[in-house]
Amino acid sequence: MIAIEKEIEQFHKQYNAVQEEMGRVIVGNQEVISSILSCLFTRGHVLLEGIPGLGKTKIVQTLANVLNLDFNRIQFTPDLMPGDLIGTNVVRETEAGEKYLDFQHGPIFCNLMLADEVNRATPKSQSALLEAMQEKSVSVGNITHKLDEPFFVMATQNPIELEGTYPLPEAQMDRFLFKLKIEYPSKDEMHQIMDRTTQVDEAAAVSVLEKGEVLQMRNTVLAVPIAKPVQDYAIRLTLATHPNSPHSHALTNKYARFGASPRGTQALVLGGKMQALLNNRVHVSCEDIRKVAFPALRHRILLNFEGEAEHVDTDDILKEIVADVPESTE
Amino acid sequence: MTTEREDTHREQIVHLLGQVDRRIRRNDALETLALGAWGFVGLLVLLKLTGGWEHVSVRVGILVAGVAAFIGFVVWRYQLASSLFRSAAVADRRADLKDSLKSALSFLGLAERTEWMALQIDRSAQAAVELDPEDLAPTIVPNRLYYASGAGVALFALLSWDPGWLQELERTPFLTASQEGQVEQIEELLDDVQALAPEEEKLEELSDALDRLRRRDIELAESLQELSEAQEALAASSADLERLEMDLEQLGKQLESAPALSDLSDALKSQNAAEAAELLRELAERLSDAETSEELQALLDSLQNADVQNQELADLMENLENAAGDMSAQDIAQMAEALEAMAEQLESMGQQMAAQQNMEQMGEELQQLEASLGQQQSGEQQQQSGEQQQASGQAMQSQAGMMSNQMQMAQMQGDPSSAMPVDAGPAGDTTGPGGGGDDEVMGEATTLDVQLEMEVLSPPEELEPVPEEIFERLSREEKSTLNYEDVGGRASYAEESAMQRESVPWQYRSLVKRYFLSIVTNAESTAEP
Repeated sequence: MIAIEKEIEQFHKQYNAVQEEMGRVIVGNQEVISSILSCLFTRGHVLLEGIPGLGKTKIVQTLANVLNLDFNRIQFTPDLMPGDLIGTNVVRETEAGEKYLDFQHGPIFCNLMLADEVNRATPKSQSALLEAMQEKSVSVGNITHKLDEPFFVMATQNPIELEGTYPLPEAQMDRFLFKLKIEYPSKDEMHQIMDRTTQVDEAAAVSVLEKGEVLQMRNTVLAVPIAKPVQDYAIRLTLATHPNSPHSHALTNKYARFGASPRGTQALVLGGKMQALLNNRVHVSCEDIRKVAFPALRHRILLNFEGEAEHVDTDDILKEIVADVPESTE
Repeated sequence: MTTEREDTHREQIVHLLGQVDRRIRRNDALETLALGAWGFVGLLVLLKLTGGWEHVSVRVGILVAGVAAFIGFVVWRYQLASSLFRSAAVADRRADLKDSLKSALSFLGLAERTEWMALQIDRSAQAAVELDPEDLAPTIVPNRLYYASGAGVALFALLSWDPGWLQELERTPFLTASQEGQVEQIEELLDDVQALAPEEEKLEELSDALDRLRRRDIELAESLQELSEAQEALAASSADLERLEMDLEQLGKQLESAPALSDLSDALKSQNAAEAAELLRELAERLSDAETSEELQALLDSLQNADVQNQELADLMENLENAAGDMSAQDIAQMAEALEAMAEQLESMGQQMAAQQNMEQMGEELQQLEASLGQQQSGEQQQQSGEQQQASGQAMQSQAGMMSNQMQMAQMQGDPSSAMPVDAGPAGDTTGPGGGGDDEVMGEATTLDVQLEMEVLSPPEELEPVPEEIFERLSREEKSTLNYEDVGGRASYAEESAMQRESVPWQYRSLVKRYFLSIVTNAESTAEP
């Protein structure tokens, strides 16, 4: 037990170091940074949504610098092909003159991948990420290439531009553990941004975490136990997003076409574990589940025609579900 | 070592949660009981207020149902399984433990536990030791219990409340002091009569009527009717009494012929039935004496000649005549029994006479009370009618006042249709003062001519003016207080022409001119002759 206490202490130390280093570059957005780190340490991927200029790419770049991991940035464009992402077989020749196919690794072979403006690529290219994100592997021809751990995809998308964009398919959306919304900075934060970015010496982050430490922190998070009643609460929250089911919520029945998949419950539980550790607890509470309910479920609820017509926000549905689903069924 | 430690932790957690669970169950039971008691007592109060409480079956039924519900509740609560998870959730929430106890309890139920789970149980056990169950689940006395207590007090007050003082207050203005005295006297007489003749139904009705009169459960008219009926019944009883007295007196006179029975004769004549019965008993004791047999023979002779109308007395005498036959047969014992029976019968009749005398007296009292109440009722009626007359008189006055005001207003506004006399009665009342009962009532005009005819003012009578009047009239005319100013004289030509602008359109001017010229010409031609 002492070892566990030390492990938790070490986790906190490393986590705080990462957050502190990121805070030197990124102004505000503490919740966003915390959620990105939650995704990183729970083996998930994150989708950042916000209008241009709010620092989405900056956050990801800073994280890559802080973590000292292989980082690749891919600007998604309509003419991006899957081969441009995952790589392709190239015909090579040996010294003896024999020709052979050599796999040329694409930019996806890295630890941190920034898929910038992911909704600008065609669904064909977007789908190239499916296997990589879920299986952590890439299949080219009849050969499957394992991706190096940790593999963490951070995608950004712009919600206001529709022309020339391809909305992410539901299967792709489901693979993101969290969907985070980046809001405008406040007045004070704007002052700090100006101070940091309009001078000769721009603030830069240094690496504070190695790959091995990241993997260790992942294991620490996953080891946090969750009690059955709390897990039951997470499941009931997920089931409440399913329309026309015994546990469904009234708003879901009215506005939702599809609810969250079991991946949604996984996201709730994993996010809850991370929250428990951050609060120096060795068990997940219902409050932890509630705290991650919005980023974990908001992109997993598909609105029906009525919901789309009335411009219903899935966050509003989740707000009601979180308020109405009781912690205990007794 | 680890197992012992885990057991200790388990005990600590389960002990705390058990205590919390008991307190939660107690609070739940209190809440439910309070709700039940509130509803039950409230129902009883409602029943009491609506009069349903008076029915014994309803009372018993509700009490049985209440007791059965309580027993059912106790059994149900006893059979309810305790839930430590519920108490863990409550404790976590109260102590802000973030589901620590709930998680620990869940982990304790697992067959295999990780080190992380063991750490969590260890932490929860430490927290459990420091927690006070009373803080986590304090005893809460539900508000409904206070409401139920209040309702219980109200019910008790309702059940034990004696509204006599209120009825006393209500009765005081209803019966006067003398009437109250009469009622009391009648009640005393009634008690005496009931003691002597308890089987009289009329007496019960009279007693009930008097009670209702005292409680003011009865109107004056109704009470008068009740008393009148009772009085009639008592008068009928008095007729029986008179007959009985006459019979006894006649019997006494018959016995005058036998000097030995003079005492009995006197007693019967004075309608002293008790003394007569005593004398008859003495006679029965002395039956063996020869002298007595003579007295008895004389008695029997007298009785045979007596003509009694009272049925009981007639039966008695018939028995006695039969006994006479026994006497001739020297059956003294049977004769003595017959005399004894006659004495008892006389005693009974004496009591009946006393009761009837009381009833007679009571009838007189009732008559007086009836007369008094009748006067009271007529007084109240007169007062009511007086008030009504006064009220109607005031209404008429106010209506007449309104009418006169309307008319004055109409006169001031020059409305001829409203020009009625100021002292006219109410509208439609042609018999009232100034109503113009003989005046012609005119309906609304049906044609324009008639309407216009009605609106034409009759011209004032043109009398030959008297010089003095002319002089006075001129002297009454006041000089205008406004200074006359010749505005037209100062106006320019343009202003003047603007003021005198012709309003007749130019195309009609020649027509108008011709019209007036023709009028002037006609007037001059008619004036010339």
